[in-house]
Amino acid sequence: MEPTLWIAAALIGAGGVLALRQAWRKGSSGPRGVLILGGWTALAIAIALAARAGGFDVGAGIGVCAMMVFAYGVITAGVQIRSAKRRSPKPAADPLDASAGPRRPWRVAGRTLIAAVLAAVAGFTTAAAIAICLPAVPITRAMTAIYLLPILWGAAVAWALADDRLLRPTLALTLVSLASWGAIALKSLP
Amino acid sequence: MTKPIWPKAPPGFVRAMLASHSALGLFIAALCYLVCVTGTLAVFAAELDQWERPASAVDAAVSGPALDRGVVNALVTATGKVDSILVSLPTADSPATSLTVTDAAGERRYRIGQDGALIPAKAAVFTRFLREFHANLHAGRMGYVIVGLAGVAMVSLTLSGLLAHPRIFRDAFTLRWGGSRRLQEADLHNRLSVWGLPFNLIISVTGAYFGFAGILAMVITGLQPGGDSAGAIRATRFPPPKADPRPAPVPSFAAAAAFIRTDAAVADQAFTLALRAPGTRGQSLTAYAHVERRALYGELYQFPPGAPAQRMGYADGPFGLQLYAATYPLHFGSYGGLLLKSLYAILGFGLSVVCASGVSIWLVRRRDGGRPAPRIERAWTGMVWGALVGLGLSSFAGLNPALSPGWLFWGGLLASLTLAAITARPSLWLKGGLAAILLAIAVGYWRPELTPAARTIEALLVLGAAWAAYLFLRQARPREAP
Repeated sequence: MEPTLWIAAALIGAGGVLALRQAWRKGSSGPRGVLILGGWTALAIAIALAARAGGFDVGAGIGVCAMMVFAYGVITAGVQIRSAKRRSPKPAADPLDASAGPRRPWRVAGRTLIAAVLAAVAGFTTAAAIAICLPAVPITRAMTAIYLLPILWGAAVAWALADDRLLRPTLALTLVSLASWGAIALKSLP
Repeated sequence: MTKPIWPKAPPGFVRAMLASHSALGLFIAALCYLVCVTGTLAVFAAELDQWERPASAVDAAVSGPALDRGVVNALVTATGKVDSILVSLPTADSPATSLTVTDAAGERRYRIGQDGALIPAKAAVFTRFLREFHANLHAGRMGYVIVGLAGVAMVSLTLSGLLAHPRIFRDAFTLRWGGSRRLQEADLHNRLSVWGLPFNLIISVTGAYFGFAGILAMVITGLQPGGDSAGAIRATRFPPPKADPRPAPVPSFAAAAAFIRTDAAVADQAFTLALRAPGTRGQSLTAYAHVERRALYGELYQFPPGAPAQRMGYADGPFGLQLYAATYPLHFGSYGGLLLKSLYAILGFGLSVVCASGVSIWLVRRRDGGRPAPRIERAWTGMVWGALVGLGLSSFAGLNPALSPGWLFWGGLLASLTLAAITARPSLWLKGGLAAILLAIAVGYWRPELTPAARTIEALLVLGAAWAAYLFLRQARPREAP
């Protein structure tokens, strides 16, 4: 039973990735909705079958990782080899180059401070609020908070570094920290 | 003409996100690259251990009486007060029965023979160096935090990278090679990032866990003194028993392992047994048992003296406890055999390439924009190839006890950076050097008694040497005049 399920999962998963690739090849010239929907559905079925074959944790883990590696293989197989061209350097500044525009040192320092300090404080206080206020048993609350900490913190860093204004992330991250601290204080009331 | 299904992001937003992505990426790329490369190799830590210490892998399981005799022998031959005795039983990853004793003279590792005799075991110097470097850069507690920061940064980079890429699904299979180097590097970076997204996020989040779980517990304690959340993080293991130095008989390791085999809740093989404060009334025997079809490090048992065995509940306890026990295997891919480890290694290699190509894209953009940074370009080449050269050199420490893997690694990396600074084509020489080093390692470690896992490592080394040699020869080939 298990080998059959593994083979079915592999074939359906491969079909799903290939369907998505077919949708990509059509570009914007034809109907792609069916291929995209079918591709993702096939991938979901393949992972479910792998979970059935190897146990939820192990099977789904292998299924998801195998899908990613197979997609790498499909991309490599479809590589477009181009001949090298000699071009003179483009003198104009690249609009997408973060280092190309004018920079004021105090803004860079401010942004770095917000990303390094305020984002960390907001991430930790929000995670602590989750660990204390989430309606679950203590260990589940704590583990949920630890797993969410890098996501909350990382998102705050990304935003702090992206926002052109300094005041907006400063205020927002401070408010988030205060709100989290307030939630903890309310929960801690006797 | 069909409309794209992904909402169109405003150009200003994309530019801001890309700026955030570039700023953070450039700041932390070298650290992320080192952590990813060592993590990719550390996936095969058990196999590397067999490769480095072939003699330690030849003994199969020993009998129960031999196991208990080995423990008694360890106590008899110990120096001064014994802190702990740890026994590792054979598993699919590690076929030997080994014993580690920690006493007043330090830590020593033995193999247990079929008659219970203790045979001193060679240390797996390189494997240990690799694992510790990946965990904390050999920088103690602060090292865990620094590596945890790399995890947080990688989550942040993943989020900003997704938001900075409005054509994420439309370009999902595009890979252009040759022609514009900028397009080539960007395609490689984006394809590996997008299709590796679930893996990259899991690795980053679990990596951050190792650095910040303890700190978050302290923050929670500070914000809610006396609360139960911080205590819950610390209560994921059995509390140590109260110290009582009065003598007591040593419990049977074999009986504990036999109990686990018959326990209906797990009914599987114990793989590690640890006895703290052995031979005293305050001693505590704990054991980890493998749980079939689960992504768990194992189930934890405790055998208190004169009381029934207790089970922690990693396999069937609250979700949080199961997640705690799943964190290590989720990070290292140790829950699905060699197949999953191989998939993890491929995806880990992909993540390392993402770290390296991110900086390359920035450098090519500068060059294309008429602002080349040749020194940084050479330094980054030295960093990317030098880390591999350094890791290769550090493995020679396993062949000669006089060599320090740390010195070899940092020396190799520093030499590579110096070479990059003084030569015009650093990648050429570093690729050639890497090929020679990998081949020398394969030859140096070859033994007829290598296990199948160790032979696979040898084969991978030869393949790696061939790949580096191919890159060297391709780059060394004289180019046609335009």
